[in-house]
Amino acid sequence: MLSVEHVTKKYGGFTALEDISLTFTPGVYGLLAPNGAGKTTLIKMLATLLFPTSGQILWDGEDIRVLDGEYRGLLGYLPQDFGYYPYYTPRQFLLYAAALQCIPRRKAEDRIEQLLKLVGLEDAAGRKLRQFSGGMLQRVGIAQAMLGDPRLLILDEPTAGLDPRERVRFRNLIHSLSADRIVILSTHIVSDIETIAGQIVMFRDHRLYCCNSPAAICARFHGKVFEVPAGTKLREGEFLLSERQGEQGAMMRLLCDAPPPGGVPATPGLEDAFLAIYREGTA
Amino acid sequence: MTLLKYEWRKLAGTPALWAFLALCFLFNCFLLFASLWTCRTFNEGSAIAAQLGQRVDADFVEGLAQLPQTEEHLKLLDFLRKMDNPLEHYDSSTQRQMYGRLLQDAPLAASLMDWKLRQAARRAEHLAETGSALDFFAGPATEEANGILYRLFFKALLTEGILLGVLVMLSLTDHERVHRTTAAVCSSLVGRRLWRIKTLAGVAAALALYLILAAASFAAYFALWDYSGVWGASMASQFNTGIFHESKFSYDTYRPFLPWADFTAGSYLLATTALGAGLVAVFTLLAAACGTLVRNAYASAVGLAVLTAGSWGIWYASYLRGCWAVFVPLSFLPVSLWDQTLGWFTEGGILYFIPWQETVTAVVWLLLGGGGMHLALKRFNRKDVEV
Repeated sequence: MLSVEHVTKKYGGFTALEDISLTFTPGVYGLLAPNGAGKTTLIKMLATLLFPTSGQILWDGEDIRVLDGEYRGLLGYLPQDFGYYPYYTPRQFLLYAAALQCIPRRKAEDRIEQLLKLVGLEDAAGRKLRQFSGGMLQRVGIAQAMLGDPRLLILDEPTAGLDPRERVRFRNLIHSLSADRIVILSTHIVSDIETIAGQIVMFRDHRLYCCNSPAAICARFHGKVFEVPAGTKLREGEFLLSERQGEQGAMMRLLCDAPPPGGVPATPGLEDAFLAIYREGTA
Repeated sequence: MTLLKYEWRKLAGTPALWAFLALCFLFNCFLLFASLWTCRTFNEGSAIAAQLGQRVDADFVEGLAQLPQTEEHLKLLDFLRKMDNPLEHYDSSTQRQMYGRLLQDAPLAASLMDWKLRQAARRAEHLAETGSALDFFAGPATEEANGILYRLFFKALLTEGILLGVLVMLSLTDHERVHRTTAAVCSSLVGRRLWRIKTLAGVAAALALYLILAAASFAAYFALWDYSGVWGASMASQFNTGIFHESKFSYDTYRPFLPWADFTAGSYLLATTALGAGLVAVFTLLAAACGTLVRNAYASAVGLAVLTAGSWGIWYASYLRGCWAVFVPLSFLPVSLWDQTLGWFTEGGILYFIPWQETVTAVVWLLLGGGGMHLALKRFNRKDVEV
């Protein structure tokens, strides 16, 4: 179990995260917040790249700074900006990553073959990484994060650069992995986590806003989301969430406490909830 | 060991390193060809020594007289017939008084200098007993040859070794930032400890590159300069008058080359090369500490260059101006050691204040460099990694 206890992170006078407390048990957690809200700061603290200004992060009750390598040995991490050695092949790069995780070479070789197959790179295993597309590199990154069969898997923007087919494959993979480990996904692509995350963690004003299931978050907005034809003038208290093409032409989705004239009630989705929570003027 | 190999592999994939190594070798070859004229005279002296032995005695003079006579041979014979053992008359009291007056504003330096000169007098007594000053070495070409070898050729080699070491270390410490792999590396089980491995790999690689360059450069050097008759000659030969002729101070005129051990030409070269390796390791460790703290190779290189050139400038200016209170502590800097390659392991005149100063300086700075690196790594372990 991973616990974040009253963690605050400051950079000089700027507070990136304030008094965050969270508990992670096996399952998929989605960190959902706009850019700059502090997702990556929390993830970097979980990955021991940053240290809390105050508070502590515990793994099974022990401070991860004290656990040091023991904790990082349980961790698989895909950074937002995944770097690589262009002169290595994916197999060589993963062997290096395995050496950094102190995985014995023979065991690493078997695991690498499995992972290359899993991420669909078995045919490109002998090519230099500099010849890879963004999506292929991202798959190498995912394989690298899963190399040590981690009990805690942290993925920062893992689907960036993946095409729709790869994204679906990735979601299925994460879903299959989540039974006996903690998976933390950071993204601002709502559809990535809507279907697979058991819990959604949201930040607002650099504080924890909620940690709840997608259904529970959406339920807050039941009876508050309506669709009206595009071009309808907004009244006070009505907030435009999005526009879409419906069967009757272009439609606007609105957030309001009372039904607008001609408004059709709509079932709020996670995207509606996201847009509602992070309306202009909030961050 | 696996991770060490990976670090070396990263270096092997750095073309700039190999290009620089090749350029260094070419430059050394250029230096070599520029000294061809002196080389001929030296080789003649070496050939004489190979034939007649090193010790100048009656047999040696007799043997030389039987060789085909040239004008140079006749002059040399004339000199050798009158030659005595100058170390038998060595007296350090004049120098002690002179340095005492010179260093009167720096009492600690004056007392160190006095103590060093007393030790040097003992060495001179010992060397007088062994008759080392009576070794022929390579005759009149000896001094210039040693000047070329140590003041020019070895100094170039040492400078290149240091630059290679700094390049190696900075490219290793900055490698993850350049390839954006810092986050993945620091969050792995090994984590920030990789920078400790990088330090080990960098120092080992720097030493290996220095020794490879030294081996290649010396192979070229000794292919032209024939040392076959010279390797066993004592460095205290009176034909090897040391570093003091070129000093700007009149009180630093001719004195014998007084080494702290009974060095031959061969063992002195080995010791010098070994101390050079120590100095390469010192600068490589300093680069490691700087690279780990700054985490940017270019900024670290500029910082190191400014620090090194600045301290050398102050040291040299204080020497020229006779500011001994400043000069003495700065004499124990690695850059001061780098500047005086021909005076290593000798009494060293005004440049050295204790016996074996170059060795002490190198050892102390190796410890300081290692300690500095240890502190830099400790700080790095506690510091946020911005990626």
